[in-house]
Amino acid sequence: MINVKEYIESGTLEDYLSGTLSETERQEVETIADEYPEIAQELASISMSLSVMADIGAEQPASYMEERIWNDILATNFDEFESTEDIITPVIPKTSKLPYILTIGMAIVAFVTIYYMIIANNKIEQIEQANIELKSEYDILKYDFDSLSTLSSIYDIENTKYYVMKPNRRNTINSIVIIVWDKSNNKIYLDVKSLPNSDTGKKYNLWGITQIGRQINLGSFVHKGKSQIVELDGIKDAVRYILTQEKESGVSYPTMSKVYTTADLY
Amino acid sequence: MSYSLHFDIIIEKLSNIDLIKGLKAKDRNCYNNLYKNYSPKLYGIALHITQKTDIAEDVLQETFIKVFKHVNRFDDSKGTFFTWMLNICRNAAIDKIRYGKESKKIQFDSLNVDIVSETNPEIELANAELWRCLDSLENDHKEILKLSYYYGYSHSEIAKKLNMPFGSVKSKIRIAIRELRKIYP
Repeated sequence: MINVKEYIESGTLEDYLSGTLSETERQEVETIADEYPEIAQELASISMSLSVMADIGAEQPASYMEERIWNDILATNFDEFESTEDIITPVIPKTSKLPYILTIGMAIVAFVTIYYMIIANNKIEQIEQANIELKSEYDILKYDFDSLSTLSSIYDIENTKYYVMKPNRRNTINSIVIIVWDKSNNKIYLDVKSLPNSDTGKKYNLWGITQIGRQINLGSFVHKGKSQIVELDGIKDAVRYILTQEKESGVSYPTMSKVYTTADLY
Repeated sequence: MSYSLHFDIIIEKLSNIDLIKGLKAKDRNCYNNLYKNYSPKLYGIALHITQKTDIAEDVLQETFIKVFKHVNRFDDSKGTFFTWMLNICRNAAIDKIRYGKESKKIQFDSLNVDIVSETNPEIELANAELWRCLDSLENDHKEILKLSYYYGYSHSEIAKKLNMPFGSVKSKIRIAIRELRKIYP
């Protein structure tokens, strides 16, 4: 249990965002931010301040940079980076004594066997994870194809923007929620196709986050199994939407550990 | 309106799902969107920290490469995609001036911060524009903000350099940011 106020005032969060902490310290901050919503909130707020400073100091790079960077991206093999970066090469001491050589040889065989078993196990886990992701993506695409033609007849496309919200894997994997923002009347239609049922005494809250970090409560609803379209009031300067689950009596700020879906507008 | 065009509109809005998929697939449209929206902000930060156009260009390039390379590590529960990119860019720029050949370019003299840079009209203009934006702030607030956001110093380092209590540094930065938010909401 930490003293949240003291922790925030310690300056650790600014150091985290300044990139001056060690890897261990960074992980510690991330763990604490996961446990304490107020700290996650403060982290997001400071982070948004950085965005303000970035806006003020914006400068157009030279025109050749766009192609130069793209060519570098095309020439870089990112798969190779990821697969070779973390390989650890074991160092085996040299010896001229046969028993030691045999022992080391057996150890190497055992090590290699275990190594490949771990690799195989990891591969299976990766395949299972990929299957879950594919299922999720398939569900989203299927839903898009099934429902968008209906939506297009409901809303005037000239005045409408759509955002497919991304499920937060910590709380849900297969949620499908689409935000439809009607600019003509500044209304938001939250098309909830799939979402876990609201917990007892809880409801879902949609929040609009502005460029400077203000978190605006756009309204709440209860979800019980069936798909539904929820009408809420919109805001014009949102850069991000997040859907959280909160207690029915309401809260002033979103609980970051209870984020179910998000959508970034950029 | 055809369904496919309708679907394209949604894709263009690029939710994070689409964005991450696009980065993994080295999708040109995805890159174009990212570059168009964020490169001036990222380059501006890199330029103000490094004070050299060629170094800032390298930082911008490194930032995009790292974004494509480490997109799997982005966690949207800890902030927006842009702030994630911004932190990568700032860290890369800070590394350049602290550990690279440019490490001795910054000089301190109490609150009078000066940058030793080659005469470069582009940088002079960028600096002048930035300082003009910060001019409405009190002098010590402005200098501390410059040290923190544009020269890459942590709050504890600023406190030591300026012989000022840590809490004062923090509160001055908060007040300055609050003032800037009023001017640039």
